Amino acid sequence: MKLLLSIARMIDTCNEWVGRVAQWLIVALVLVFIYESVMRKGFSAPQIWFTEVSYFLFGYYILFGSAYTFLHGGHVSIDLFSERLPEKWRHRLAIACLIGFTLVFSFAMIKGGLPIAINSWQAGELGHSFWRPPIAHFRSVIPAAFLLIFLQGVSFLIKHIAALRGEQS
Amino acid sequence: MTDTLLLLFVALITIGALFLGHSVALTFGGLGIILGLIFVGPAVLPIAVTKTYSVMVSFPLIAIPLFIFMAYILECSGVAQRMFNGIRDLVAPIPGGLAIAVTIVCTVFAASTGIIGASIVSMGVLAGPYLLENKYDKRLTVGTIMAGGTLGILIPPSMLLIVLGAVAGISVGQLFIGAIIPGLLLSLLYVIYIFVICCRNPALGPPVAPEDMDVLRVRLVRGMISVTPPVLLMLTVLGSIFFGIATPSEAGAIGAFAAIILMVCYGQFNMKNMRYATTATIKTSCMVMFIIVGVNIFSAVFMAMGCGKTLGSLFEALGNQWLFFAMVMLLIYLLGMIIDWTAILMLLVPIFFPIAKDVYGVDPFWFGMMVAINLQVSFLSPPFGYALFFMKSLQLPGVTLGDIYRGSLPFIALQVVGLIIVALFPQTVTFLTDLAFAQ
Amino acid sequence: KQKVIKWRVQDTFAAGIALSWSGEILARTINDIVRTENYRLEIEYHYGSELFPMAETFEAARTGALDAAIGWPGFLKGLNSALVLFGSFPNSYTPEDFAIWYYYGGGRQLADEVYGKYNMKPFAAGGGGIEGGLWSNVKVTKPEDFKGLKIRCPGFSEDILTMLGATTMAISPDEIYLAMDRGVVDAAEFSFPAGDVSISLHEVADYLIVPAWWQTAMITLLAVNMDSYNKLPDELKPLLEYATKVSYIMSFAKWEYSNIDAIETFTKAGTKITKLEDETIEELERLTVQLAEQEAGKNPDFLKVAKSQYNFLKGYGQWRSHSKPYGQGKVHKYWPNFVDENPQFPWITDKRDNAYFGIFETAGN
Ligand code: NA
Ligand code: NA
Repeated sequence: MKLLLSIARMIDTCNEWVGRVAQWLIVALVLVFIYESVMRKGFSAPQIWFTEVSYFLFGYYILFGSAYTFLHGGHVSIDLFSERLPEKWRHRLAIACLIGFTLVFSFAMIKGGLPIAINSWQAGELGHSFWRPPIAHFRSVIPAAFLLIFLQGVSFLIKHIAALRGEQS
Repeated sequence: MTDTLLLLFVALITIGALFLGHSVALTFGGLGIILGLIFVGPAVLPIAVTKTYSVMVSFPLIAIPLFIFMAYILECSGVAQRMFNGIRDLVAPIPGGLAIAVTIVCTVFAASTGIIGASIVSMGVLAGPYLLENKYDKRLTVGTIMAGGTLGILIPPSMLLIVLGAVAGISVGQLFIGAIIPGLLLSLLYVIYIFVICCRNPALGPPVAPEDMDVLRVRLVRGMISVTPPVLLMLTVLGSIFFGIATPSEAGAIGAFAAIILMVCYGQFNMKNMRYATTATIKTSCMVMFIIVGVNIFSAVFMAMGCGKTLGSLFEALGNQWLFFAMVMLLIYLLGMIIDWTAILMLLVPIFFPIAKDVYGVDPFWFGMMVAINLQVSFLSPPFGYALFFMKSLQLPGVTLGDIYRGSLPFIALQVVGLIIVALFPQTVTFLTDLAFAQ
Repeated sequence: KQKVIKWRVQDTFAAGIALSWSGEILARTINDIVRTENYRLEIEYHYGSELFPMAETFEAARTGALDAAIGWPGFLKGLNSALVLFGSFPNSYTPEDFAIWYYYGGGRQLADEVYGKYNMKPFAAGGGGIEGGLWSNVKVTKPEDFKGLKIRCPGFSEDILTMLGATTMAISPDEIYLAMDRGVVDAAEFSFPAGDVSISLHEVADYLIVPAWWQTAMITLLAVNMDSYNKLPDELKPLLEYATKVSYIMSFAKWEYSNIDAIETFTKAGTKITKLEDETIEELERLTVQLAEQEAGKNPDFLKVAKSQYNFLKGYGQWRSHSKPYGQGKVHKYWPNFVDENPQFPWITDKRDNAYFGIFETAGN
């Protein structure tokens, strides 16, 4: 259990840092929009990369921020009934939900997302705009981010099991 | 019949699963995958992945984190506090004055964007804590913000009306104009309600006590001074969308940028505040976006299962126009609890609109407006309205999910009143369109 | 006992917009006629975005997540630009040209070859005519008028407009109305007139700039996942092909017929229908050729298909020039005295009627 708990802590630290980096992407997003607005309206010189770069920043931001949000309990839940359960049952229910929903969901997203990403790398898939950037990296965001969510689910799982057995995390 | 049973089964399972208290987004996602594997097959995996990808490449959704960022910057730099102090000075003697002001700001917000996530979360961040500090009843506070925020999908511009127009074959312009009076009517109902209950029980939304009030002139001057810069910012941002100078996403970015400049002007620009704002923004944005992802996946699975496609024949047999109408409204409302509004429109409109038109001779335009108003109700209604989730995620001090649910109830009642008024007096939707499309 | 084979199929086009008509007709025709004593093919038809996002529909058919995709294959541009040549190309074929080239001019074999590389079996399944035009709030007639405009358009027209100094924006169909209304874009193209009406574009634009040089046809393809196709009993395969031919001609007729009503709607709404100058059309044609040469230099598949298409157009063009001024471009000047002053087209108002006469369906089977 000690080993497992230290793994859980490692996962938490990892997602903490991913989140702390990802949180600044919003500033980049604002700057890209401002730059485009100034260039388009001020100099009639819109940037051909603008739309796709904003997709990239936005996509990276919301996907890579998600495990971090999960770590900090930011994903909203309907806890009306579960919070009235005795503590032991609360942990048991949480374990069941983590396995049944979070792990199933994130595993499916990794399994479904990997072939799409790999195929995109192999085919050298390009964006549709005149800029035509390679987008394989962007296709890879989903399996990568859901791997982090999966790991975060595992970390919570370990902590709930430890709590059930009366061990401190 | 088996399809109806399947639908019922799925609805019950979903409601049960969500009440287990796990993250809503992950529950929707996980449940979508499980139901998909059982009823749809392995195709559910690429469906889920590409649905998520389409959220990542949706330009309108980029507005959500940008507006949230703007709100958190205004909040942590104290600009929001100042602004609401100013508003309080201006509305001091009016019972419920602050909540009324919030409703009015929400109405202006609604006339600028069509994305409810942006307005509910921004107003929640900006006004929520302030109303609570000023001893406003917490249920009234959250109810006001959520109801005001959902106006965004009814008052034009509105994505919902655009999609409805295309699916039902109705003019979008006509829907936009038709929605103005119902939207303003709801806004007015909210204001009247807040005023009346705060008059009857001032504890719900206490006006500033006369002995604490400065003389009118001092108050007005001070109020104007503190209100002007942030209100100017908001008006610039929302106005730039209204007059077509910027898309909502661009306006959100400009708003966030301008908010940072205000922050610098008030001497609040520092690493601590920026870190606070970016941390809060990523958590709130991911929460909102992930609910959208989860619900999107679930809705796609729902469509793939073919749920409800045979419901049409049941409705044709109802025989009575008002019974048919009531059943449609009830069904839209119930589906609104578990699937996305776009899925509802795609699922139901092709079934109901021809029946409404051919069998019952209902005016499709009026019927469309009723659908839009009703969908708006479902955003706010417990247990699974989007608005409720967004509100809860803000974790306002002392506000529980129970408060949010109860806070929404009077406003849902007001929305139903609005729905009935529009049902009984179709002029409310046709008056302006007749005027505009007279030639 | 008849064995039923079920296919899950998605359209690239959403419900309600007229563009989904070829998918609807095809699904109905397949369900009606693709059957023998032993087997029956049943299509579970979904509108665009119901299961997969519109842009991912063909990808889903390719990977087997769908049994087949139906719709405009322009979304495959990122995968291989040659695939798009079977959907539309600027300044190019009409639906009649395409059918001739496809069925008799070697197009079908080329489609099999190129789509086969990506694990798909293609069938032309809908022949849409030339698009309505460019919806604009700025009057455009000369090449320089494009400079600095913000325009919504997809596919290869994006490249040509960029060459002319315009900014192009990819905006999903849902958002065009707002983007035009709020001035986020100056101009936008969407579809043929009936499609444009379905998203109310005439309400937010002053001008309709014709002709629609960027899309002289919109061919919809049924692309069947190769494994699903191979599993289909051989006796059903020719029937499936039959069904696609029915939907090609029936969707063509329905789309074109409904344009009468659409143009009437534009006229009533006060749309100023403006023609591009002849030199502009010539300049656009020149740029298209330049683009085709560029793309052919980069992509051998593109070269192969485009060469066949251009060769056909060149050969057939001779005959077309003799038939001038008749053909689809002909507008009559004199009418016999029994022609109505304002002809009425009753069934246009009931868009659900697609003049389809089912064989088994009507017998209540
Ligand atoms: Na709105
Ligand atoms: Na088009």
